[in-house]
Amino acid sequence: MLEDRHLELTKNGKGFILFGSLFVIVGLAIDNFLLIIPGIFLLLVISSIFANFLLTQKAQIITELRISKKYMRSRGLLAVSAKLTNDSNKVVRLKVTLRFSYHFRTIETPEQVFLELKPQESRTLVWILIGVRRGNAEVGPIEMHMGPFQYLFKQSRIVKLVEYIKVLPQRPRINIPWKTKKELLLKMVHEFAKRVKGRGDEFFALRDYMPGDEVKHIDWYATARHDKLITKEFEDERNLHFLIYLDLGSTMFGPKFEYALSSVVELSSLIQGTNHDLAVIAYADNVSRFIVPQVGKNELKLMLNLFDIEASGVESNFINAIKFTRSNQLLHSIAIIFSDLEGDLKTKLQGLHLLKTMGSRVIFVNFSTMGFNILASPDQIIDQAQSMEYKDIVETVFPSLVQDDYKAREKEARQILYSVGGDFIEMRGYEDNIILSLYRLMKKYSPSQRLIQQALRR
Amino acid sequence: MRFTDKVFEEDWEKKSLETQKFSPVLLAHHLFGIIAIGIILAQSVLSLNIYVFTIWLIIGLVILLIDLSKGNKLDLSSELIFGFFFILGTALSLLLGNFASMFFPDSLGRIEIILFQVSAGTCVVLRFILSLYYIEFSTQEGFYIIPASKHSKEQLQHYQDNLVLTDFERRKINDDKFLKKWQFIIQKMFWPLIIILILVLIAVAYSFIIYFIIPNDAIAELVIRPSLVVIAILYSVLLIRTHAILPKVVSQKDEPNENEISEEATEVYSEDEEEISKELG
Repeated sequence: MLEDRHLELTKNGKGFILFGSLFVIVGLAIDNFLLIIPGIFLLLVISSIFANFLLTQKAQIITELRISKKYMRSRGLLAVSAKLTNDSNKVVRLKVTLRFSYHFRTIETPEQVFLELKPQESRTLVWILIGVRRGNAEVGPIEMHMGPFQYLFKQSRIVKLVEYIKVLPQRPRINIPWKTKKELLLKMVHEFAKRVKGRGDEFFALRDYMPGDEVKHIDWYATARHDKLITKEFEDERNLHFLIYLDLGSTMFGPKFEYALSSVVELSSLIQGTNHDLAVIAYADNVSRFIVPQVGKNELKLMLNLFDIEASGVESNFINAIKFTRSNQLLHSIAIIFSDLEGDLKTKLQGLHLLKTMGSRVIFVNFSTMGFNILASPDQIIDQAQSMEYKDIVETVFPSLVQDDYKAREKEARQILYSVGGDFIEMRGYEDNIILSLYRLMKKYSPSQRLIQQALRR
Repeated sequence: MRFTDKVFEEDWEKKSLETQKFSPVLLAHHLFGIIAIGIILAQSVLSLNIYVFTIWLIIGLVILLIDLSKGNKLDLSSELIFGFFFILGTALSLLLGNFASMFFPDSLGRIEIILFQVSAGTCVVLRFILSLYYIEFSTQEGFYIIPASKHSKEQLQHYQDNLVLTDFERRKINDDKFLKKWQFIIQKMFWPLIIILILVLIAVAYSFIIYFIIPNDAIAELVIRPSLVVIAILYSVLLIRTHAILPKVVSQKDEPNENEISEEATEVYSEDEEEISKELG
């Protein structure tokens, strides 16, 4: 156990000494008890603090810090227990403070607790913390303040016990059944992949044996039935290549970015279990991360790698991500772009036609700013509403001001996307889910829907 | 620019643990200040000195206004300001009034002066004590959040239920109740009050020595008083020196850290590697 002891007479404490001596000396000089009595009292307070320090100097307090888990979801709960044992013969009264990083907040109890420990007594303190932010968080160290009048004389012990926890993005609120997920994938395969025969695993048809065919593919039951050599034919693997582009630009921030990231993780965890390929490209002004999740032992590690992505403050430039895609020959893929419509739209959507020439399908997922949080700079709206409260302005006036502009932007984005044969999905808050949105999109492509549309056109 | 997370704010409510807005301690604190000033004013009225009266009236009003403007927020700086005004008032009334003892012993007996001064000084000390204990309580303030929606309440309840019979089981920390806190205050105030009593007795005894046993004696003026002044100076120097001697940070190392060991090992390894690479050319 590492322990640091801090001892310090604060400014107020020094003031007490100064005033005490001044009161006493002046009082004695002029025979004024009005000053002598308070002066001696001030000096006594300081003396009692020094005496207390000398008495409790040797009191040992053994501390153990434990946390309930190493990985947790944001908005999840974490229990932290600290066991304190008084290893001395004196009664110790102390203030225990648990320090933790900005990723947490305490529930129901403040982070500081006042305790009285009898000799050889041990007590366990349990804090329940809620993870409010994603990232590499830490819990600890524990600070113990002993003795009275901490604002005069700081006598603290810092037990250097630190536990590291990884706070992952929050759990999606909607649980989607596996059946729906499977159906979505099947629909995507049906729409985006072509049925080609070749060297796959899936059975395609039976046919007569031709010289040169592999002997291991001969279907012996069928041969026996028809009295001639018959061989199996296989379908080519119909796997899709998913490319997920995640925008780390300056406009993606806060809860919006967190939700985009957790959507990426949700989608990639869906794809990972199947025979489809997946790659995640996180880009800002350049490609900052290229992650290809793998099957096997490293899978979890790579998924956790995905959780480490942080939004950068610079403006994003999509064309660089496209260039990266082209140089790595990631052709014929389904490109799903997680971004928003803030900032300069042209740089955000520049290069979509290049994706089309590479034979890719584009799906643009817009995380609408207004659905997730409200953005406001006070200077902008201060002229419009002098008398309203700031909270009201933020919640009512500002969204209505930007709504029209937002609609125009959405229209522009849709036009650009439809010109390259892409699709547009809008995420309007925590209630929306990426898989459900994709499912809704794929329904548009279903044969029955198509027939209806054709009939309508006639 | 700011952004809010509506969902989180709906689920969890921010709370703060605050000291009582109106407490008897606070009221008594202000009251003792007023009483102390009142006693001095009464004394100056009885000693028939208009300068002393005016000065203390102004200072009393200033202190009262400071107390009122601070409201329920007590801090040490305001107490130190209070002390500063006392010294200022004494110095001014000495300059404008009677240089020898601030009041006029002709119209007011010496014993009466001593009694007035001792009672005013005791009031000031009581005020200091009350403010010290009030500040002790105000350091217990802190922030936390509580579940506000049904979803978050259930989440917390389920989590706590799962932790029952583990090391993380949450037991209620026996926070002191109101009466117990008061009991603690009274217990803590017992010894200071006795010390004040002793102080007052010593002061009275000292005054008797000065005024009755050795009146107008050279020993009192030249030996006892200067020696007490020197003792006071020496004691405050001693306190300051004690503070200077104490080390600011004392770190105790019981066991060597595992990480440090591994780091050392890698360093040695890398040095070896460098040497080898140098030898190779």
